[in-house]
Amino acid sequence: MRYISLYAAMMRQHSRFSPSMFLMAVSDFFSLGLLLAIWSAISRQHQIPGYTPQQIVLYMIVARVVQAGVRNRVDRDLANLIYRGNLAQELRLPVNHQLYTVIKVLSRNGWSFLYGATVTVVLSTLFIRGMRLVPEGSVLPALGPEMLLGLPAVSVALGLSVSSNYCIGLLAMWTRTQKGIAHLKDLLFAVLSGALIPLDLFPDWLRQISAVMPYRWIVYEPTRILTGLSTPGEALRLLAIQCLWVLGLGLVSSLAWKRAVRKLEVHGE
Amino acid sequence: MRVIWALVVTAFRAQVRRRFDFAMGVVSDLLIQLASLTFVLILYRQYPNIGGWGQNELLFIFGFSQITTGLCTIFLVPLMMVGDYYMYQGHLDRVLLRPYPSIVGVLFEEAIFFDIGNLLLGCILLSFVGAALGVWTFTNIVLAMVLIIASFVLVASLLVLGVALALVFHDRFQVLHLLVNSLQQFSFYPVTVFPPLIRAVVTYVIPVALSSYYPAVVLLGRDSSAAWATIALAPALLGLSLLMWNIGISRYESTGN
Repeated sequence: MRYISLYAAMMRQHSRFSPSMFLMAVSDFFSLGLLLAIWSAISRQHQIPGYTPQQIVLYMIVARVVQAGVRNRVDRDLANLIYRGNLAQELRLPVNHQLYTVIKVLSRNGWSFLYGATVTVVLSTLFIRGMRLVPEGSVLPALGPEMLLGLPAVSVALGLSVSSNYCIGLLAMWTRTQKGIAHLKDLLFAVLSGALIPLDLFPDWLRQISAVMPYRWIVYEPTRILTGLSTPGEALRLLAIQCLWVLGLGLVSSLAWKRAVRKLEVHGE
Repeated sequence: MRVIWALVVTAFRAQVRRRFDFAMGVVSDLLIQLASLTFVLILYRQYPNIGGWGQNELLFIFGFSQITTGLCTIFLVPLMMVGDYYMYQGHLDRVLLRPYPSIVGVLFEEAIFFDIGNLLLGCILLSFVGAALGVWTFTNIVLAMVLIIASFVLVASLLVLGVALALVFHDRFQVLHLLVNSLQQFSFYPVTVFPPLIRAVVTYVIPVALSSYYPAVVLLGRDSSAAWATIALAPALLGLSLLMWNIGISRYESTGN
C-alpha cells in the first residue's frame, strides 16, 4: 500500500514535467529519423541479411519505443546521491531502497513511455509516408499477437536495465567518481543493445561480446519479439533467459547494496 | 579578447584543480564519441558504398563534422544552460552586471573544457583518412583551416540564434536550439543519401550541411562551389545571431522575487 501511494505521488510529480518529456521525445525523433533515412538508403542499394526494407524500418521504430520504456538514470542518480552525500536522506525513509528506486523509475517511465511511444509512432508514420522511405506500394508489417509476449519482455527489460544501472551506480561508493564508468556503460549500451544496428548484422567477434552482456536483452531481444522476428517458441525461451538475467543482477545489486551501506560514512552535524 | 582569455583561464584552472575528475571527464567524453564511431565503422564496413560514396569518403565527411561539432561542444555548451540556469533561475542578472558583453559572460564564465572527444576524433579521422585519399596538399590544408573556421562560425551562429530566439520569446525549452542540435546529426553523413525534403532543410532552412558535408566535398575535390556558400554565409549569420541576442537580452525580464 505504502509503495502504491508513493508511486501515485511520484506519477503526479513527474506529470509536471510533461512539456520537457514531450520535447525530449520530439528531439529524440530526429536521431530516429536519421537512422530511418540511413537504413532505407542502405536497403535501397544493398540486401540487408535477414531483413526486408520494411522490417529494418519497423525494427528501428520499435527499438526506439522500447528504449523510451526502459531508459532510466538510476546509475547517475544513485552515484550523485553518493557523491553529494545525500544518500543518508534516502536511507531514513521507511522503504526498501531497491524497491523505492524501481518505483521512482516506473513513475517516470510511465510518462516518458507514453510520450515517447506516441511521438515516435506518429512522427515515424508521417516521416515514412512523407519521405517514401519504404518501397512504393508496400506497407510496414502490422504488429500481431507477438505483442502479447513482447510486452512482458519490455517489462522484464526495464527490470534488467534498472538492476544493471543500480549496480553501476553503486560503484561510486568505491570509485568516488562515476563519470567514466557511466559513459563506458553508455558506450556499451549504445553499441551492444542493438538500438542502432541489429545485432545479427554485427561482425562475429562483436556478436560474441554482446552475448555475454545484459544489454542485448534490454533492447534487441524485446524488439525482435515485438516485431515478430522471433518465433513464439524462441520468444518464450528469450523471455526465460531475460528473467534469469534479472534474477542474477537483482541478487548482485542486493549484495552490493548491503556492502555499500556498511561502507557509507555520513558527516555533518 | 583579454577579458575572454582571462575568463577562459579562470574556468580552465577551476576545472583542472580536481585533476581526477577532469581526466575522467576527458576519458568519458572520448568513450561517448567512440559509440558513434563504432556505429559508423560497423555500418561502413558492412556497406562500404552508400549512395555512391566510398568508405573513406564517408569517414572523411564524418571526421569533418566531428571537428565542427567538437569546437561547438568546447565553446558553446553553456548555451544549453540559458533556458533553465540563466533565464528561469535568473542567473543572467549577474552576467548583465559585468563590464563585458553578455554573450561573452554566458559563453566563458561557465565554460567546460573536457569535452574534447569530438575534436580529437575528427582530427584523427581527417588526418589519416585524408592522407589515404591523397587530400592533403598545401592548398587543401589552408582551405581546410578556412573551412573549419567558417563551418564552426556558421553552426555557432545557428546555435546562438536559437538561444537568442528563446530569449526573445521567453521560451525556456529553447526549441530552436534543440532543433539545430538534433539536425546537426544529419551533417555526419552525405546529404545525398537523404530524401529531397531533408536535403533541402539541412541545406537551405537550417543549413547544418554547409558545416560539414559541403566543405568536405570541396576538399575531396568533387565540387567546389559550395565552399563559398559556407564562407560567405558564416559572417552574415554571425551578425544576425548577435543582433538577435542583443534584442533577446533587451527583452529579458528578471525572475524577480
